[in-house]
Amino acid sequence: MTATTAITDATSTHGAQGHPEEPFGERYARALRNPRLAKNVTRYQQNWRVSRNLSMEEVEFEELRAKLKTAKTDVVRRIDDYIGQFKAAAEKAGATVHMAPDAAAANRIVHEICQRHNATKISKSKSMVSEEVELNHYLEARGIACIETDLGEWIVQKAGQRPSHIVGPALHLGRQDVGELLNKMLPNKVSLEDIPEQVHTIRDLIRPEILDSVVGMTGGNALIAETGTVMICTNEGNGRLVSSVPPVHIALVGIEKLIPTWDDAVTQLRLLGRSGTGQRITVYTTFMTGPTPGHEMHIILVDNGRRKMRSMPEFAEALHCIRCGACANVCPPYREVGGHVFGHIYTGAIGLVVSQFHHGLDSIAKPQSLCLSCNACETVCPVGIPLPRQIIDTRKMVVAKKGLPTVKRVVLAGLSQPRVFDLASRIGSRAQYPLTRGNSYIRGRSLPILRKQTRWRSMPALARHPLRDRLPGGSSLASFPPAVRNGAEGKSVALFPGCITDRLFPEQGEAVSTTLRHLGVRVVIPEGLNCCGLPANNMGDDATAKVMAKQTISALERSNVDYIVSGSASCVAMIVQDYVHLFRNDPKWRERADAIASKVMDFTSFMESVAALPEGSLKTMADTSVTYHDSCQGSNALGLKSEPRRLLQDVMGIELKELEENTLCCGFGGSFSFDYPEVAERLMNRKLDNAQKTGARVVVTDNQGCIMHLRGGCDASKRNMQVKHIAELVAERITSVKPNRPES
Amino acid sequence: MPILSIPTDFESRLAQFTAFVRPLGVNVNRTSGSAEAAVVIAEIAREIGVADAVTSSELIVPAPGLIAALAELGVTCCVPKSVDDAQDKSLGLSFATLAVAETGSVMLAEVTLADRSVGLLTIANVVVVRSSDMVPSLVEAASAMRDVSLRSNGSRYGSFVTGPSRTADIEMSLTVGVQGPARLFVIFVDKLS
Repeated sequence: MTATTAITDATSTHGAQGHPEEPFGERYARALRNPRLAKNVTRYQQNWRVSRNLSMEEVEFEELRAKLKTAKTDVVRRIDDYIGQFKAAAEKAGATVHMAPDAAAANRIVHEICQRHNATKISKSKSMVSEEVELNHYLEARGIACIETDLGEWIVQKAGQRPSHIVGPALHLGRQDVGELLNKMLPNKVSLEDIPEQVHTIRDLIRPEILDSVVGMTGGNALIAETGTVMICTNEGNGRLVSSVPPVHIALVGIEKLIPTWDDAVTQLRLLGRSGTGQRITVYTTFMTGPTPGHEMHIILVDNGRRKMRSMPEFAEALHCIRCGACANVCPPYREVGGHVFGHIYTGAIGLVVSQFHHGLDSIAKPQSLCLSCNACETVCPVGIPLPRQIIDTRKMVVAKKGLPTVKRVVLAGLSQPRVFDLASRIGSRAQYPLTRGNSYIRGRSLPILRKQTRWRSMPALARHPLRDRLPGGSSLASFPPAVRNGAEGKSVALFPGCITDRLFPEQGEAVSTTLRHLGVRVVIPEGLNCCGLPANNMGDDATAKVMAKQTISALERSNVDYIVSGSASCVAMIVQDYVHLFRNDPKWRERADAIASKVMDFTSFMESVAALPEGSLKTMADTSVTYHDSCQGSNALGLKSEPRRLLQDVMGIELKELEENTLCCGFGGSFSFDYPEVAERLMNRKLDNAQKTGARVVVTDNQGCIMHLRGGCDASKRNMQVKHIAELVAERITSVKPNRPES
Repeated sequence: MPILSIPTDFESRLAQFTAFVRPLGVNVNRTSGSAEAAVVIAEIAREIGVADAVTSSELIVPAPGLIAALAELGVTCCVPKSVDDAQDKSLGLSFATLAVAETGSVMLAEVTLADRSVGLLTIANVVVVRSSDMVPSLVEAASAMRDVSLRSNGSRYGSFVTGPSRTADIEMSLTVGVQGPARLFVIFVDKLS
């Protein structure tokens, strides 16, 4: 494919009527066909991660983000007070402050200002709000040219595209794309390889436009309420030019950009550069209060759905966003398909949340389905916005409006009825024989209906004897004399295996149970266990998720135990973190959910903080080296990082070879891998390629979804690697250690 | 709040400042007085191949000795009357309100647009700052910038400048010198006259 095709393939049709978008399915397919896209985005993400992490080491990230979150929470709560304060101070300094309730109003105000000054063009530095309200198209339809002076924005404008990223608008394009674009536009040949030459060519085209503009426009990174000051953070110098040289300066800014004081501005500055581009601070941090003498300054404060967002408790925190783009920079599906697919105008995780308020729910209905709930975005958000949960809430609104596909409705209906689920699983475990031939995989690659799913990863066979047969509900399993003295001795633990363990990998449930018993723990198998509700929650079916959550809470409540342990990190995250949100409007169930959550732990955390086995206590002579896949739920949601490593390396003495991008999602994402097998396959291959590169033959992790996915991938591609649950390694060792005290 | 550890004495702060901005392509010098500073600036002018520098009036006022020394070294300082006078000139001299050890920034907050344009539009920007005006962190710098925002007359416009202008918009490959100056020099002067 030529570079020209690459640009036009990624294009949405550009015109005075706005950016009419290609249907989502076509955008998705087009993105997958573009070989350069994922390469460009991957490079961007990987480079960003390195410089962001380095720069963040200099500061106390958690403290800073808590501080900024506090300031932003206050702003959202008292938005009208802060608007009033800002307006009064800015007007005192000589600025004119306009309120724009919606996009049409914002565009009209800009147009009127241009008309008053007979401006036939306006020089713009970067402004996502101008993209949001589609200002350029509005003005161009009225004969006013919009000159983008930011390099990346200029490139995408000339290419007839929207920006694909909040901070790096042209990151989806490479030097060949830019070179070809310039060669189409200019008489002189421009290099396809020499980036500085391309930059200087574009710079020379833009510069005279700024210098003879009557109107210049900026966005605003912050609006400092106490003095009516607009703060912008830039690198190229165009922002300062367009706000200094033209006699009229317009700042187009969303109302959520308000911050109370200069002290808050410092907090934001310490986070923004680092989060956005891995810089300590951007080259130019500019503060503008009122116009330059003899000039005019107009500040347009835009609502356009922000007040609506504020009125909904589930979404109000999205107004804290400082538009750093970090959420897109860690997003696995974003990496594979780019911002034109993963978003609408605002891209990345924040785009999936705010778009419905600016552009309607339909604008984001399909893109939001690309989120696989890995939670990476939340770990890097400098204002701690609960993006994953907000995306699920958005999904629930989409499902409420449009319904779920029949297959999913049927599956969830079955899952939520324990007897139906049990019967279906048992029938399935026998009926699957023609597909499995007694193996542990369903390959079915010769069947067209299955091929799309199984070509690239085999599906696991249902266990002939699920865990509930081996460890029946209602059992109480006596403890053994502890193999090693540890902090869990004498405790009682209820086992919550999760449905994948129960039906597909019962041996992993047994490994957890065995380990606990050899720690001196009495293991209780609660009756009436079913699915925790995660599949329903993640598919956006709030009602069914609640049904399953209530079943789970009721079943677990009945066990009078010290702890509830699960080998499924995703079930634990659901119970401990998501149940409280699920029951936020139901105080009685909320209280019951809280009570259960306080006892629930994942296996690794239990080993670390309760058992607390001494170093070397499970060391064997076996020569093993493994690599560790940090599951999204274990790592991003539950915050496990050093714990599994201590267990593997310090306690068990196993050599651990770290794999590159160890926290990158494996691509399972539950129903995601069925809805978007192409993206799931790519992510899976990244993970397995990185694992293989370590030389280790065993991949260890703590989540069954990942295990299922990665094992299936290894089988389909005949990679010589095993994928194991960490409990299996522990169980192997703990059962071979002789207890060192006499049996009583 | 333990945000960042910032050294307490000038020498260490200068070392941190320099360490932070040298990788960005900034040339940092410390001189004892105006005469020595003039020598540094004259050398820069010679290297660029120019004999004049568009100079902010905000440097002329506190540093007549520096200007005179430059004249003796063959560098003529001209104060811009408008933006056009600074546009794309090879060498511009600015005076910073302060420098920030935390980030390696200098603060430019000129009262007139013409003086501001020196740091906006010249290709090589030399920024002179008193050594005693080095502040430890963004907190102190923000306080000074806040004062600018409350000025009773003139522009209430200021920037923290941290390096020459740059972009990495194409393939994250860094190119220096976009719409702002392509080169930035910071000269700390212990005793400015």
